[in-house]
Amino acid sequence: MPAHPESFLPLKPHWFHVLLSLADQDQHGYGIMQEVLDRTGGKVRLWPATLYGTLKRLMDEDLIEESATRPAPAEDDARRRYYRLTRLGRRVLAAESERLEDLVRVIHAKRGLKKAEV
Amino acid sequence: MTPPAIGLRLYRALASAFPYEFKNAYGDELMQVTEDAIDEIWRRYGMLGLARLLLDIALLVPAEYLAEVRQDIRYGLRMLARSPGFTAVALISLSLGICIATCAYSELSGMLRDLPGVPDPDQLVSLQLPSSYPAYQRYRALNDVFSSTLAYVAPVPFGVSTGGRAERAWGHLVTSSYFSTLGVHPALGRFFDQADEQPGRAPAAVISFRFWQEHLGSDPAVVGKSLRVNGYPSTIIGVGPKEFLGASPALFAADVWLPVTVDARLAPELSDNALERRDLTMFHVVGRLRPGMTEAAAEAELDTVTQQMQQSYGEAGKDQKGRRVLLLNAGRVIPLRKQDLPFFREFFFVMGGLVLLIACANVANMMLARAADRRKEIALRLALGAGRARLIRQLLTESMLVAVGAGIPGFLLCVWCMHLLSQVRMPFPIPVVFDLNPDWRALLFTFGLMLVTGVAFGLIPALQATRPSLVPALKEGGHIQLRKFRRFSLRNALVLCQMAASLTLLLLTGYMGLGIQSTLGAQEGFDPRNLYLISLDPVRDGYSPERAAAFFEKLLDRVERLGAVADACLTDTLPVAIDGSPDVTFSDSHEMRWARRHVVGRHYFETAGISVLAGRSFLKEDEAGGARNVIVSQELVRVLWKGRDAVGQHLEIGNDRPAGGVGAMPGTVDFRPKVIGGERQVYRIVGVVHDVTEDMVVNKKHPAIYFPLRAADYAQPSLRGVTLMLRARPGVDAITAVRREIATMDSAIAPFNARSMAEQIAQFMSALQAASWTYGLIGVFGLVLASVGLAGVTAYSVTQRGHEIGIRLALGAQKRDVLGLVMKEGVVLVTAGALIGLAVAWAGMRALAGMFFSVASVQGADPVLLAGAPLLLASLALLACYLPARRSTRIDPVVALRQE
Repeated sequence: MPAHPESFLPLKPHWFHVLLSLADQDQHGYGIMQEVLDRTGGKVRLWPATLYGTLKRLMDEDLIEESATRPAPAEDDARRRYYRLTRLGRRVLAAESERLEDLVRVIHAKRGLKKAEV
Repeated sequence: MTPPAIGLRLYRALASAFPYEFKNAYGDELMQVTEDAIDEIWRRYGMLGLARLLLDIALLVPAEYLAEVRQDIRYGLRMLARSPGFTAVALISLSLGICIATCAYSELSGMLRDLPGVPDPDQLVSLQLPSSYPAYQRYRALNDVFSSTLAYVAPVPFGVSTGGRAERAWGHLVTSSYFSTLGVHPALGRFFDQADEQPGRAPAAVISFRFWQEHLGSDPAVVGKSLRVNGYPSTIIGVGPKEFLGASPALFAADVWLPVTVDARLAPELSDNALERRDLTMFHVVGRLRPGMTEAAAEAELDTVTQQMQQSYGEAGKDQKGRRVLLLNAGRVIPLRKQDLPFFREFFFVMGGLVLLIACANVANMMLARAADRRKEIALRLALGAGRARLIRQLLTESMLVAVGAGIPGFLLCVWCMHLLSQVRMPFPIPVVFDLNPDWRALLFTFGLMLVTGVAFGLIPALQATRPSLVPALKEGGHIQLRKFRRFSLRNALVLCQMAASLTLLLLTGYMGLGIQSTLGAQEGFDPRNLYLISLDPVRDGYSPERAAAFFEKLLDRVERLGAVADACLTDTLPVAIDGSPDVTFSDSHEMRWARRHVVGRHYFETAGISVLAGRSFLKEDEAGGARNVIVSQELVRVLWKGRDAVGQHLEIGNDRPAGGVGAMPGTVDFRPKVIGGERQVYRIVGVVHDVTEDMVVNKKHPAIYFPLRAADYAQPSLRGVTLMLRARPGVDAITAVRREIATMDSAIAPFNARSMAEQIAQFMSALQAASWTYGLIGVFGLVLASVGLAGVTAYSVTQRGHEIGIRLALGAQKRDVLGLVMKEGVVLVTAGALIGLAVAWAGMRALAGMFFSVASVQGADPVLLAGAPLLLASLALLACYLPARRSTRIDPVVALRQE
């Protein structure tokens, strides 16, 4: 029985970052680490063991899978495995994004309220 | 070497500690990523970054293991839920096993428990036999042996009034060193000191924490208040620590302590200069050994002193050979000799261990059968690259789940059993309390048992199931390699032993249980119907002996006139009771014999319904001081005069047994002066009465001698007080009428222990009843285990031979033939096991017959038991065999053959 995306929410921050890095392209482990580091301006670093612990969980939960498509042979490092989102992973990422957006909307609305009071 | 290189080396070492599966899947990548990133990390964060990197992996390694365990548990639970039959049976047999083992442990630890709140209990020793007070003073002077000593008289009943209500409580008369030697500290107030021993001081009393809570409402200002003890005021000076019930809490639990120096009016035990008499051996002596002093050396020294005393005072036993003094370990709730300890430990260890072993063997057997079922699943996982160790761990997790699942109800069951057992009121005149309730130690023990059993019944099946012979298992569609039917496999041998052992257990327990049952209700020679008992002890309510005598005279007179009462009498001894060192000796022309001693009032025989065969029953004149008249039982006449008329004959009666009654039942040691100091005297027989059988078990008849109850006996009756025995008219509540009568005469008199004779008998037999129930339970347990074991093996054999059965069916065999084929193995096992079991049980019964009951030889040949038990076992066993065997008939030959 496929799991419902909502059942994964709220997503653990590590999971969210990994899924997000895989949203637009397939990545290997080191790539994910770098991508998260760049995207967050060096604020979030997925340390290697944490990263692979997270990758294993995401694989177990069927949110990501190993990608068969590989980059051009010139850039490819045969030792590296590439990961990509599964359908479920994509849906979970979308659900989490939506949840966060809602949250942000609520925060904005509250701010607006406060400003009006002042 | 640069720091990053060192960090990398450490990292690699840590990474190699990951679980196999994780390492297999992600190990290389993880190392590669780390190698790629480490220089950048070093540059950016320095030392701190390297530390963070290492911490990251150090935290993940255990987390991965935990995750794996969680996964195993989830998987295990799923697998167990998938075979509910197996799970239920395994849980039941294992929880019974764990329950029995924990019960055995609790019983042991309850009996070997250290005195609560007493520091260094191992230093405490006590003399096995009570001593006289002068002897105690000599022992006390042995300063090189003891750092301190105490002596106490117990059990001592007290009539204690709190808030106008008189109640009977039990306590000790103690030396002032009692509490300090034990090393306990008061919860409130203080304990006795030397000043309290000075004669003439207002009597001081210490009460137990329990008494303070239950009777005095935990009054914080209780110290200094007055407490009426035996009708006289005393001052409460202190409250004992919580849970402290004196130096011997199991046998003589104490709620009230008074100094040995109190006035004899407060404690009749101390009358007649009890502290100066050498013949009054009623003081329990306990000493705290000096550090470095061994028990043997102390024993030798005490022995020398005792010998000296005996010689200088010409006491009895001065020519006695061997040791006079035996020391017990007094730091435990039940004093035991050091050399007896291993016996106790081993007995319980062996008993509990055996039951558990049977249960484990059983579950292991079923696990084996189940492993055969799961052969394909396991082979598949092995083939897909799962490590063998990992699979073994998975299987062990399953068995641990069963063990833990069984341990919890097992422990709860044990708590319940032990609670029931602690409730069994022993038929002693004093409250004998064993606190057998399991404590945290028992819980710890159960936990250990769960671990051990989980491994014990899980490991061998797991090892076998994961044996790497994949190809046949995969090829044959889940059934292991077809072997020639092994007539005598290990498993069959196991079942054979189990059958034999179970039958032995069933027969022996049935034999004990039925034997006890059949001897119950054997109290004959008197009429228990409408017979009621109510006890009184006016001296403890503040009466002088003279006043007590007058009171009883008047009471008897008034009770006899009540419409509800047909007959009434006063008595010291009862027809059915464990009595205080009750035996007296009488001499034949050349042989010393013993008889049961009864002290009874007028009308005793008429009231109890014991017929007077010759002569008369007691009259008032027999109670006079100088009168030496007794009544004897039929059996005594038969023994002495071969049944000729004995009335008018003379009989020399004495008490030559060692004072204090060695090895007597708890609370039955009667240390009253007149009992101990009996010199041989000649009595005249005035009557012969019918024999009364009153033993717990059927036994040969004992001679009995009845003495008249005198007014002097009221001063210090036995521990159960003076009993008013009534024959009520049918359907009338005589007890209430008598209570009312007593209350109108004097409300200060507190009657106690009101009960019917039927209740008295039930209580008397309760210990045996409990024993027979226990045996029954163990027997049933064995039966269940044996059946389960057989069912497991049959199921296994069906699975194992599925292929063969399929071929047979395809070749035209009928379902009945197949069923017979499978059952044959079971029947052979059952029959062989039953024969062996019968033989062993027969030998066991003969051994038991010699040890316990004379009635046993009759019971052993009981056809119901001898034929019934094997039949019961066989029918259950065949049923256990049939149910799984039926599965063989459902094998589809097509499926079985296609698997080829």
